[in-house]
Amino acid sequence: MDSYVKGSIIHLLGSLSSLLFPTLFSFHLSDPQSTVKSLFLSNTLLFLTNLVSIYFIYSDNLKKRYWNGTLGFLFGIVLFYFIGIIYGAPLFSEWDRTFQWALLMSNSVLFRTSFALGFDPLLWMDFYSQTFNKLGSNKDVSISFPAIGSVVGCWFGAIPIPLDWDRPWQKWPVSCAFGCWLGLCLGTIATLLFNLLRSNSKRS
Amino acid sequence: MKLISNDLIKISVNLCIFFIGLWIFFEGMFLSQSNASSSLFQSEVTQDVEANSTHFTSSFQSNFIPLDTNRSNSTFDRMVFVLVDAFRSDFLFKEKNEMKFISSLLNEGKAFGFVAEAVAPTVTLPRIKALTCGGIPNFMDLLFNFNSEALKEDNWIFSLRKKGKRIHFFGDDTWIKLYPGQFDRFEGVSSFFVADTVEVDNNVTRHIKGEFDLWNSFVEKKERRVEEEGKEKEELQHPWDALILHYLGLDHIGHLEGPNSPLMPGKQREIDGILRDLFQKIGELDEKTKGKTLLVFCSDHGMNELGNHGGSSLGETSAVLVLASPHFNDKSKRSSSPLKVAQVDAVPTICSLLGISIPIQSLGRIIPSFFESIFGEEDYLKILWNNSQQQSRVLKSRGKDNLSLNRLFNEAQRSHEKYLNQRESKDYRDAIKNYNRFMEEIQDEWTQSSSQDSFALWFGIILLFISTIGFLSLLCTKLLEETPIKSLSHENVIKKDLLLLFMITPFTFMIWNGFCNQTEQNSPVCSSSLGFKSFIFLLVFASLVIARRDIEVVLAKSRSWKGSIRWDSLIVCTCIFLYFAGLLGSSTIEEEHQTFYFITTTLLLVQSWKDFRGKSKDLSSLLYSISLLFISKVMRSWNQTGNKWLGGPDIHKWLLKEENQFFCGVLFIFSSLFVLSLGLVSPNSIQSSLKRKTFKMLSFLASFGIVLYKMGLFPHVETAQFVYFCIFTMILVLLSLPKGENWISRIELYLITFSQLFLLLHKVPNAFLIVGFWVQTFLISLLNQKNEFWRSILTLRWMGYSSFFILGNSNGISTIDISGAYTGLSSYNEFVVGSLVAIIGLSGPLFFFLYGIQMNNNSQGNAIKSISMIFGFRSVVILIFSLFIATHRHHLFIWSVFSPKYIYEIAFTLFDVIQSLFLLLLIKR
Repeated sequence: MDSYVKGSIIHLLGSLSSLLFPTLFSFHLSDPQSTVKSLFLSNTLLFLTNLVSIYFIYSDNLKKRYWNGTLGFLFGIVLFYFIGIIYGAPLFSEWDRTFQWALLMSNSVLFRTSFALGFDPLLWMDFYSQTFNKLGSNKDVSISFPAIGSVVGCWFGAIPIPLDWDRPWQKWPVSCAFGCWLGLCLGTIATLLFNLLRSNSKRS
Repeated sequence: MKLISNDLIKISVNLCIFFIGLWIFFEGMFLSQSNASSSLFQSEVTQDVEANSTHFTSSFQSNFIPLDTNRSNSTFDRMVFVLVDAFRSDFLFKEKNEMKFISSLLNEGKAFGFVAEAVAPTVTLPRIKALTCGGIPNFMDLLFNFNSEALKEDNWIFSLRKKGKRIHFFGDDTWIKLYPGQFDRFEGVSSFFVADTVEVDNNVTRHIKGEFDLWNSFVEKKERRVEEEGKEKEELQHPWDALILHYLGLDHIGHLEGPNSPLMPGKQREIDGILRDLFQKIGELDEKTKGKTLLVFCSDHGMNELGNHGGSSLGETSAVLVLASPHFNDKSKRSSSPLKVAQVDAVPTICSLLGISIPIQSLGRIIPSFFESIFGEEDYLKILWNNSQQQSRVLKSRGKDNLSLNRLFNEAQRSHEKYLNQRESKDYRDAIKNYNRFMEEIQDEWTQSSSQDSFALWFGIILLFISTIGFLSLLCTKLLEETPIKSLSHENVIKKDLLLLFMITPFTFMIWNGFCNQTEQNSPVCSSSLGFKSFIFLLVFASLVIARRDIEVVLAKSRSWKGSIRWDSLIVCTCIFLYFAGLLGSSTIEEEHQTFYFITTTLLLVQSWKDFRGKSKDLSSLLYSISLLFISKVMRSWNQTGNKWLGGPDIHKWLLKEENQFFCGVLFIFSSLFVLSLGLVSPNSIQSSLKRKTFKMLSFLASFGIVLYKMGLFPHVETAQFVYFCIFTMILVLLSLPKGENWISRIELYLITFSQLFLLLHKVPNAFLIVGFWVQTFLISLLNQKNEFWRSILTLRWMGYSSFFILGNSNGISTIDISGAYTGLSSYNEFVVGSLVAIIGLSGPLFFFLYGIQMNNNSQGNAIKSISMIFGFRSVVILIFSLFIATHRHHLFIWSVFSPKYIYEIAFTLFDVIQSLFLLLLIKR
């Protein structure tokens, strides 16, 4: 089996199980503390599977890459916290929720990007700007698909927040987080399919 | 130039169709109701008067028992009707209320209190109509709230007058306009000086003593006459039989400072005191005259947590209704929560208590629990019968003869008849049960009924659709302007146009005649003249021809189009689509600001991304983007708006707190200094030194006046008028500048003048937002140096819409800031107040529009592009929303959510037309 495929499978399993946690505990969602807790649990899980799955895709120069990835991850927390705020999250109150969301986004977007491309935000921007027109190699796809999926999913996940259904999952950041997980899973599945198809066509 | 005029013809043809369609739709949606009801009144009124004079016959064959007032000893001779504007029900019913006296009456059983649920629009005029006529109001009443005409519908004031009763009125002059010539003595106070919370009520209260003195002297005179002549020869005319008092002060406090204002408890105590005084006087009077006087204390609507009203939130719709009399003596145990009734129920209740006929249009039902406890069995049944009879007549007149309802009514009548003959309590209970069930079901019938002219709705939508096609095809040609046309055959153009003509002509006339002959002859669309019809037809034909050509061009161009779809365009398209989808739900309309904020933030993020990459990774542009995004975030937490989170914490409320007043003042002075410094620095582009100096001088004086006026140092009407004068002169100076010379930079001077007006009109805590707007636009101008035309104009437009909500507006009526529109007015002037309301509401979009002209350096081509985008966008919005409310016209929220939104959309459309005319005027220069 291709190492990309292995990595993608692990990534998919990781994102699926990280989605599972809050879903299982979703009956606690009305309680803010447990929302934060379950988010934290799934963040940890996602982070660990990320560490493993990315290893299968990029096996060279590991020490530097993990260092870059961690840097990107930390940078991503700050960045996404800021984005959360400008999209309307409260500045200080409920900071833990916003922080957990930022962890999740950074986890699913910037850790892998930074791991693959090095800690260079300008390079990331170029990379993501190009993906829309040119898909790139298997490596590129396994970075960009899940990342774009989770950002788009999160964006659409924000839509139900102002609706008047009065459900606990409409509270910030639950629906956004679910959107992100969903996008992440879809992105990983797409990567997997893409890699499988490509390796098949290469073989034939 | 030829191209431009071509485009102008296209735009004006489509605009004509658009407005005709909009008008027809609007008329079908909002205006047909009033026609229907007035015609009903005309036909029924004579019949009803006759019916009332018919005397009681023992058998039910004649189908009529009048409420014989002489025999019933439970009816009242007089009424004192006290209406307290915007008195929310919880002011009385909450645990710790200020209304000690009324609460004690309620506890003693001398009064009955209800929460009267009002329907939107919760503004005074439709509520007064509901409280006197008992009908469900026409939505148009809202628009004419400030322009009341004499009322033609039947109401209890007419009923009282018919019986020769005399009515005295003191309070809001809306009543006097509604019922001219009905009051024998009256004095109106104006509801338009919102800042006055004391005098406006004192002017009502001071009449009370005199009114009761009139009765006292009447009684004395009567007694004297009886003594002198032994017996009373002729009936003396009572001084009054109904006294109506309408207090406005509480509403004014609400508008100024909200329901938690420190003035509020005092005002409530004042009203409680007035009611105590009235109750005492009534007791004395009743003893003297051996009569009975009813005291009605009610409110027209409530208020929301900001003290505004107009919408349909719980606070706004819970009005209060209290019926009190010294003769009431209800010993039954009181439940802690008051009974909820509809506001229109007050009408049949009051009429039955006074023994007068219920207004023909009335849709309310008497309050059963109340009547049961104060009336005897026989009288109670009679009242129930009377009310049911009236209701079934309304039902018939609306063409809704319902068999099961009729059966219910007949059954009730049979039990009633049986009871009258045999006096068995079983029949009594049966009759009551059936009457009440009949009324309940008939109430359901009212909530389901509607009276829109559906033919007009669909006809309007077709016209809107045609104009939308026209605008969109024009927009597409403009979007693809740079793409060259490869091949476009010009040979068959005329042939194709003729073919189109032959195709649509029979089709149109078939539809038109088919519809009109079939059902709705009275639809205004059908009764319009032939000339008007052919005018519309020609317009539609022209629009279709133009659109067909445009589409041909667009298709030809798109075939040769080589560019790829970019990700940022995809995001922009998704955003627009999302916005359109948001028009299709009640909560997304109520919270539409969220959609706008979300989309604006997304667009700004995309823009920052593009700028940062485009500008060779310039770090300063990143800094500008971050500050722009952050400032936008801060500004939108200034005012909570919408419906659900309206009362949530925001900076505005924080600044209003007692302990933050100093900070609020500092912010205001900072804002005015900011605008002043702009006014002192910018005019250097003016060539003539005299004009430059005048402008600077005037902007200094205006700022000075604004600070004096708004900070309460010299808060007189004259100060505001002085500021108006300065602003007006500044505009005159700008207009007098020689033409052609550097007019783009002059827009900035207009913006500065506008900012002065902004500071004067808006509430003090909002003043800082003008600084925010300036900073926002400044940052955009730094970022936007070589940006695309389309995206930048779209972003600016979207920021304009966001700024509408940032200033605290929403799609509900209750957020319109009316109090600001009376700044500097010493008398009410419809036109001035209306335009000031519009300026206050639209100041955000106006600012960004003016700025957009300056930024985009409008050439002729750009102006046409902007206009085509404005109308392409607007026509789609109107079309989608019209379709939506035409299909959802029986929706529960049609009057409370969708109709106000439609009115807002029309206001924005008119604003767009003004914008476009302005752009065209600029081109001409």
